Order: sequence, then structure tokens, then C-alpha cells
Amino acid sequence: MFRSLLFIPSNNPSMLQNADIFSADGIIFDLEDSVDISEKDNARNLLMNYFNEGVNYPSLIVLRINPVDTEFFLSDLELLKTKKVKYVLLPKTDNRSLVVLDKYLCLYEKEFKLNEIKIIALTETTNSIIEINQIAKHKRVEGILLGAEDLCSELEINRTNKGEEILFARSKVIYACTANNIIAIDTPNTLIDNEELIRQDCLNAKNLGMKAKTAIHPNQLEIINKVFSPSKNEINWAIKVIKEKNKNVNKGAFSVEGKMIDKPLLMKAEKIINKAKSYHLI
Amino acid sequence: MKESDKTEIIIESVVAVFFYDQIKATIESTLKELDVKNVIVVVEDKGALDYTIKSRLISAIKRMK
Amino acid sequence: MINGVNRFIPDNLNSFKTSDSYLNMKRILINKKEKQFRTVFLNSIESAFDYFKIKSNQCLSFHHHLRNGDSVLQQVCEIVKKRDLRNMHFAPSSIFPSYTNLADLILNENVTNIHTNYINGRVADVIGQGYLKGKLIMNTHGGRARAIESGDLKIDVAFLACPTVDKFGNGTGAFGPSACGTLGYAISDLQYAKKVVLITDNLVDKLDEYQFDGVYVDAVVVVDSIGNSNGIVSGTTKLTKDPIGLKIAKDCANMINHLGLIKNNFSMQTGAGKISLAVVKYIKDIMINNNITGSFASGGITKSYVDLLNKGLFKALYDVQCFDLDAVKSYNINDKHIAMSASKYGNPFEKDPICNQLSFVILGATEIDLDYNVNVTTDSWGNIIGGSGGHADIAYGANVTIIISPLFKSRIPIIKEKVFTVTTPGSDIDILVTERGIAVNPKRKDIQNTLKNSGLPIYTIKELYEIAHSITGVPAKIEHSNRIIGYVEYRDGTYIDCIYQVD
Repeated sequence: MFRSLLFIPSNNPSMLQNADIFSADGIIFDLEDSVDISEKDNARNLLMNYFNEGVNYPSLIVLRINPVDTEFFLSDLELLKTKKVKYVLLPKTDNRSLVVLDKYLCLYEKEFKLNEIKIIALTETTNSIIEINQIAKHKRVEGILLGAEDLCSELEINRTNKGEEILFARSKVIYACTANNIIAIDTPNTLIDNEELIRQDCLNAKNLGMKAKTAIHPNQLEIINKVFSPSKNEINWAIKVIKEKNKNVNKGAFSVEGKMIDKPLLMKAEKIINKAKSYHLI
Repeated sequence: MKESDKTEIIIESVVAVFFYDQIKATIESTLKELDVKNVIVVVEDKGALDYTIKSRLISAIKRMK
Repeated sequence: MINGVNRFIPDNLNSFKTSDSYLNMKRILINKKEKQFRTVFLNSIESAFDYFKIKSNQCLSFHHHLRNGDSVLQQVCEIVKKRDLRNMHFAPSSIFPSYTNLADLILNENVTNIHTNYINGRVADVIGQGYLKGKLIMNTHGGRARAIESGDLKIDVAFLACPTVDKFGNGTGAFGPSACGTLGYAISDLQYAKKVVLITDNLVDKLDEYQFDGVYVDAVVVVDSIGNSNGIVSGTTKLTKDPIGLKIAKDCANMINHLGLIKNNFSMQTGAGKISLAVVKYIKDIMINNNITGSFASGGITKSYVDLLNKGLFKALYDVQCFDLDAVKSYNINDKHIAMSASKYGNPFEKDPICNQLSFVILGATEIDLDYNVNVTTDSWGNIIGGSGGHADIAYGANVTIIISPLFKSRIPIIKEKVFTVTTPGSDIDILVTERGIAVNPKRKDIQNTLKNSGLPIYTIKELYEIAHSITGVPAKIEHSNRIIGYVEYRDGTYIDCIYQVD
């Protein structure tokens, strides 16, 4: 369960050094777009040594590897043997690349005796949006991240803060994730200084059903965490519901704040409490 | 890094006064681990942690090969 | 002998015992200078040397309100060099990187002794390398006022740059082409130096409001320019955007709020460093959200504080120096932006100095040790990079003293077993806030108790010390050299540490 994932370029020692204290719920160590081609080996080495000999680690680690048809793909997967990585973030995910990654993950899990590695699928092409339902059904996929920058590039349209141009893509991701009980993660916002615009973008995503968002700069995390956390009101309501339920254990139905609480609302309340505990809000 | 007829380690660091020995030890143990001999290693350090120094050395060795 | 913070002080000197020792001391006051009812106008700084018969072995003083844009000190240095005056004692309230002429005077032994509160730049390097033939004495802002009023620091001639002066010798820094705001550090010099000359580039007929009373002024020199207003901004008044700095700032503001320190009529002071100013921003949000109005903020005033005053969040600002042009403008037009002298600010012998009225202060440090002693005078290698300024004064006076800093910078941990130089004693430091945890001085059981169940990451300072080492490795210990080149004088006139030559 997480609200925020922060991208960190793996070739940057001062960011690695502080990775465990940023307020993101998870860190994505990136070996792809934020690392220059001539530095891929450097970045991979640095990350390998950081995972082996560093002292403090973020509680949730995601590794963005290079796409399956690059010369870096297999070497990137070697990092799994450090046993620090929980999710692999696969760029340009589609059915085909998912099959390739799955094959090598099976091999590496056997060779390095690893627990099952899960995948977060980065859907950033029109094709990946079209294939999204199958991607969401894949047994390793536990979350889908929308990559709107590349998508809009392919569509040859402008990316805006209001986001009407990505409404369709966002909705596809959200429905596929929700139907398959995995996490819908929103595309990062490229603004760093404008708190109000970032907040609006987060709210747009949340109100459609996104459950988390990626950040490209630590200064975005406070807003992201706030928007994607249950609100004080929601938490108070959920606490009331659970309290009432415990009072009415033998009764089928009960009411809170003048509303009947049926099974779906009860489950909603339980989800809110779980989240609130997870994020140390209660 | 350069090939040579003996191993020599030159360290220029802004924190030399405090960490010279540690930096030298990291370089020496990494060279040993990778069984690399007869090289001149020049380290220009601005306060990197041990795992960073080690990884930059490993990259330099790999690129040299 | 070993003093109250375990530092060696030569036997013939008065050594520091505790920061409360002044309570058992008597205030010593020499006579204020002879009053003047006739202002003499001289046509150059050089003619002031003739008029006052300035010769070798004398003490000249200056203030630093024009900071890195000051040209008065530089011009006086040139004349000393030209006349080859020797064994001079200079007492500028601070020394900035642009004062390079002073470095030459030191190398050439024209100047052999210095009293100051802060040094940075070439002069610091030259002194640190041992070129000052006499000694360097570093005071606090309040302590310098004490030294002057008691006669410990006897000034022959005070050269006081003054942005606007009238025909009666009254002076103000509030406006003029080289306006610099309040002139707090110069008041003791004005009242107790044997002779006082104002140097200005803006002469007017009559000032209705002034900070320098003309009765203390012997002469006025009008020059083309006393300095550059843009040099007042030393690049220290921007908020940090660095995520680690912001985390420290946020945690600090939350902790202060948790301690219940942000309540109606509270008072505060912070340094003007980037992280400190970010804390001010977070405190501002807390004040607005909870409808809190503070009584006053003091300092070192910057735009951040001017904004707080203008928004009605504080009732007044007490200002000993203006760090940026926004502060200068505010001082000129807002009567709630009030000047204070260095004495009123931090002199322990003042009746009710501002520093004693502070609810909390937030300060920086180059080093802090396991006894909570703080160093802001030298860096970890022993190079002089600053000085107390008001640090030791407000650390003593404030109810809660908070140090903020990253846990390590360029691999060097900020927590040491012993700091290289003690500027402020650990008895006056209450809390250390870093990005990896907060440490509370065991002397403050009250604070420890309040923070126990706050959810904040509280550690002992020893634990934070070890956390730093687990990340950086254990740094080698370095020893200072044997040659004493100066002293850190505590605000009560005793010596708290020696300053040693660096190789």
C-alpha cells in the first residue's frame, strides 16, 4: 500500500545517501531515462554497491530497469540478487515485453533463490493502453503506472496540467487496476515550484480513482501524500463505523450519521482504517 | 586509472585529513577483490561515501578492460 | 588552566566558568565621551588623520553595517598603509571578504591586534596562518558592547560610516544613496570612543529622527561614496530549496509547535541561513492557521521578518542590523520596526536585554559536541570561518535554544566528540535538529518529557553521533597546533577558548 513513489536517478550519490529519509512511501531507483547511456554501467555499479554496503534503506524499493530489448536489460536484473528490490518497474510495458520479463524473473528467482518479484507496469504507449486489461491480469503485476509524457508525445498532443487529454488513458488504467485489485498509479507532474497546480493535478487524478502518484522531486511529496491519504473527516467517519459495528455485532445493519451502513460501506471504512494506520495517521 | 609496472594509489580529497586511511583501505580492498594489480589509481574525492568510491573504482576497472 | 568548558586558557587570563557567572560580577562603566556642540566638517578621511593626530599604536574602530559593500574601512586602511603607521589595533565589529586591504596591513605589520565578532575571507586566512603579530580577540555582539563600555576595549578614534548626516552631526542609516538600515553595532563606539568621526555621502540640513546623536560626534567627512548598498546582501537571505534542508526546517517547526512555543505574544529570533529562513516560513503557516500573534521578532532582520510584521503576525521587530534592502526600507517607513543597539541586544550587564526576552531561537553551527558545546568560529579543520556574532548572547537568553543542521556535510559529521573551538557553551544549547533525528540536552527534562510521545525521532546526541558514523565512517581526530593566535572572549569578558594557528 503506498501513496507516493519518488524517482531517484541511480547515478547520483547524494540522492542515494538520502533515499531513506525522503517522505515518499517508496523509492524508484531509476536506471532508465534519468541515466545517460554513457553512464549506465556507472549507475548500475553504484546501485549494486549501495544495496550491498549501504546502511539505511527506504522501506519500499522499486527498480526501474531498461526496456527488454536494450543491451542493459539483463545486467539490470542482476541487481535483484541483492534481495533489496520489491518491485521491478518495466518501461514500455505491453504483453510481449511482460512475457520476456516474466521469463527472466523466473530464471533469476531460481538462480538467486529470491522471493517472488512483483512488477509495476509502466504503460506509456497507445499500444499498452489498448492491451491494459491483459497487463492488469498478469499474475506478477501489482500496479500500473501511467506514463503520460511519452504517451502524449506519441499522440503528438500537448500535455496540460488540467489533463483532459489524458482522461481516457487515466480511466483505462484506473478501471483495469480496480477490476483486478491492483494499484492505479498516476503519471508524475513535471512542475516543482507551483504547489497549487500540483495539488489540482493530484486531485484530478484522485477524484477519478487513482490511488497513488509518482514524484520526480522530493518537494512534491508533501502534497501527493496529503491528497492521496484519507482525510481527517474520512478517518473519523471510518472510526465511528467500526465502533458502531462492534456495538452491533449481532445486528445485520446499523446506521452512522443518519446513513445505513451496508457491506460495501463497511469494507470502505475498513480500507480507510488500514490506510490510516499504514501511513501513521492514527 | 592507468596500467603501470606497480600498484600506486594517489588520493586527492577535500576530507583527506579525516578519511585518508579509510579511502585508501577501500581502494586497496576493492583492487584485491577484483585481483587487479599494477595500476595507478588517482582518486579525486569530494566527500563520497565508501560504497560510492568502491563503485566508481569498479566502473573504472571495467572500462579499462 | 582548564576552564568551565574543559578548554585550556593561559593562566594569566580570566577564564570562563559558567554562562551565569556575570550575575556575580559588577557592571563596569567608563565615562561616556566628552560631548560636542560644534560639528567640525573635514574634507577627507585623510584630513581626519591629521585632525585627530592619529599615530602608531592607536586603536581605530568601525562598524560593519555595509557588510561586503563597505568602503570606509578599506579607505582608512589605505591611509594607514600610506603613512606607514605601525602596531595599530583595529576593532571592526565584523570583517568581510571584501576588506582585503586589511589583510595587506596585517601582512605588513601595520595592524598587529584585532578585536572583532566575525571574520570571513582573506583576512581570516591570513590571521589563521599566523601573520597577525599580536592577538585576535573574538567577542559576541553583546560582549563587544560590554568590552567598550567597561574600558576593556579602549578606542582612540571610531570611523563610523553613516548613510545620512545633518549639519548638527546627527546621523541615520535609514535612507540615503548608501542606506543600510539600523546602525546598532556602532552605538557603543559612538558613546565611548575618545574621538568619533562620521563618514557620509549624503549631507542634509536637519534630521528629525536619528540614531547617532550629534553630541557624540567630533567631526564629519563627506565623501563621494561610503560603499555599495548592493553589497549589504551577502547571499544569505534566500530560503533553502534543498529537500534535506526543507525536511530539517519542517521537522523543526513541527517540534516547536509540539512544544507549545507558538502561542500568543511569543518572541523569536533565527539566524539568516537558508534553513533557518525556511523554518520561519513554516512557523508563519502555523501562526496563520492558528490565529497567533507574536509580540516581537529580533535579529539580523530580513525580508522574511518584514513580511511577518507587515501581515500583523508580530507586533514589533527589534533590529540590530539589516541583512537585505527590504529590511532597510521597512526600517525607514515602519515605526514598529525598531532599532536596537548591540548593548540592548545582548550585553549581559544591560538591565533587560532583548536576548533575555526570547521564547526561542534557531541557530546554525559548524560543529556541536557530545556536551552540546557549539562551534561557529572555526570549521572542522580549525580555519576561522565566522564567529559568534549574536550566537552566544541569544543562546543564553532564550528560553529554548535550537540548533539546526544536516547530520553531515561532505562526509564530515557535524557532531564531534569535542568541537574544534567552543563558541557557545553546551549549558545554553537545548536541542539539535537534523534530518535523521532530534537530540535534547539532558539538562532539559521538561523538553524531553514533552517530546517523548510526540512521534518525532528523538535520540540521545551520542546515538546521533553513532548514526552519523555508521554512514560516513569514523573520521580521524585532529589536534590543533601549539601556537595560540587569539581568543574567543565570552560575553562576560572571560575567555572560553583559544584560537590556534592552522598549518
